[in-house]
Amino acid sequence: MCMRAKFLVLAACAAILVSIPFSAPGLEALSNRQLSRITAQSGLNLEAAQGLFYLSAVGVGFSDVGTVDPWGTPLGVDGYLHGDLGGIFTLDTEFALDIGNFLEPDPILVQDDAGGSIPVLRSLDHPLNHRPMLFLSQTEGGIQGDFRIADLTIWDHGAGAEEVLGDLSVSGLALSSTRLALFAPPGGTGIRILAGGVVVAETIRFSTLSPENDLLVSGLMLGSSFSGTPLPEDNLGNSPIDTRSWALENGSFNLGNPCYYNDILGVPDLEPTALPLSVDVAGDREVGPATCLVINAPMEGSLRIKSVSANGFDLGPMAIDGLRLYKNVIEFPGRGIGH
Amino acid sequence: MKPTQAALLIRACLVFLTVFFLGTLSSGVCKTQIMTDTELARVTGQGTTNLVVEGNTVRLFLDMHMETYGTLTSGKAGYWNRGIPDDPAFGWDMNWKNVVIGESYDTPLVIDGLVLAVEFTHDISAQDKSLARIIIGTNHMKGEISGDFASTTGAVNPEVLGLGGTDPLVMIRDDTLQDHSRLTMDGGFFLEVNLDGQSPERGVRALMGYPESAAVNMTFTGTDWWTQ
Repeated sequence: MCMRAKFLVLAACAAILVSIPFSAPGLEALSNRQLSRITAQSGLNLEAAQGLFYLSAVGVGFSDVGTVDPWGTPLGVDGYLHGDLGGIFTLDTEFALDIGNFLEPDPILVQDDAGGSIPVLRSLDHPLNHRPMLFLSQTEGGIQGDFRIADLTIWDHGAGAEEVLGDLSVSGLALSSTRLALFAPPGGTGIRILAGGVVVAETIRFSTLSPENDLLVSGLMLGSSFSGTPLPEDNLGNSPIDTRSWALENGSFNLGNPCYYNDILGVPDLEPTALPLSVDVAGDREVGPATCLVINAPMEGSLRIKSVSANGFDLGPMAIDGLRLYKNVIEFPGRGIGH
Repeated sequence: MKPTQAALLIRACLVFLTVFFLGTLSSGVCKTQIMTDTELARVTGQGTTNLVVEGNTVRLFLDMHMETYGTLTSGKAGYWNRGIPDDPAFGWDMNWKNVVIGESYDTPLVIDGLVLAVEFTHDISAQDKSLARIIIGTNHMKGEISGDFASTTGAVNPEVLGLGGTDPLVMIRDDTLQDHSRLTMDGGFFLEVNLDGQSPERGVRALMGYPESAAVNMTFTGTDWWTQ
């Protein structure tokens, strides 16, 4: 082979070799070798300690009515909702956001039925163990904030005009113990997520011009379980429930059931296996549109609301305790049923 | 003419860049593929998620298919002074315990289409309007819900309980469903939070086995509202 040909072949081979890392699936984890070239096997690490940030937007909306996309096929979304969005958030936390291939990530601890903790990500035979791409953990503190959407507006197709519904505000919103792990499924497409956290909102208020008629949701808490005044089990009460003592007891509300999949398969002797939240695209559905987004969102946790009131009427508390969804498949769009 | 070493090097670099670019382009986006026209046309053919104003009500319809299997230790809502004579003042409108949603992992509860309706007290264009009620549910739920239904407010189609007849069993903080422990759904299921403090219908209630029109018209004392 002549020198010229050798050069060209060598160049082509080099190009193919160098392009391999880039031609891997879009969210593929980096190999140790690749990672070591970049950050000495630590991946990309972002940390935040304290700060204040302000959120503002003119509005958010969705509508494709009267529009034609490049394919000439509107998405079938017929709605319009916007408002002036604003808020101030205080970041008082230690966040570690790691992007890379983690051999020893901080474990996601989940509670088993016996009250013990299982470090899901440390299980060596865990099918997801070697492929996390993004791991976010909030080690202490929290994010506190308030936000408000002023003049929440909807487009009324019938009237051909905008209708201002009112203002929506959330006060005393706090996130803590937040964890998020994002994975690529082995040998497949789509993404897998394990997430958990504690969410508290002191008040959620929907208001129009008459403050006495505001819808006021007070003391919303999302977590694993709660302490305080127990819920009455019967209808023999003669006084309202004192919900002031309600507090988060322990644990997080989890998206993606961490360890109960084997229970429902009837093979409890196996090691706990994560059942993550999954997002995939199906292209061969037999009923309805063949192509759809498929989300399986198993979850576990509890929700408490101390009080719901409006128009001077107090509905009292609401409680959903011990929710555990093993299977929660959502296909979007649906099958054209149920209008 | 024999190329010089420099020219050869330049050509090699061009080949390198071209192959590198094509190699990256051809397979580097396989996780976020753009759908073809055909695929996209299939998606939009029946997708009818919409948000509309109907009278004093803002109605959101989500065209989605759901399959759910899970458990719930306790679901309670609406603990307020209903003021029914000879009854304790306070109690749960809804108090369901040890609930199983769906029959099994392979026989889940199936929902097609989600409805969220927010109704205002009067003219939606008026500035002094306020929220009257919120209705959330589906016109198509198929499968089983079992549990200890200690207290239920609302109405249930007797077919849901495996009974004859079409007139609903109307309940106000009632334990009738405790005798059955299993709801076999094949129709609508709606939860209503009625916030109109002056209405006799206020509180939290459920409608099982009837369509959305019945949920909108449901009253504790009226007749034929489920057929309208």
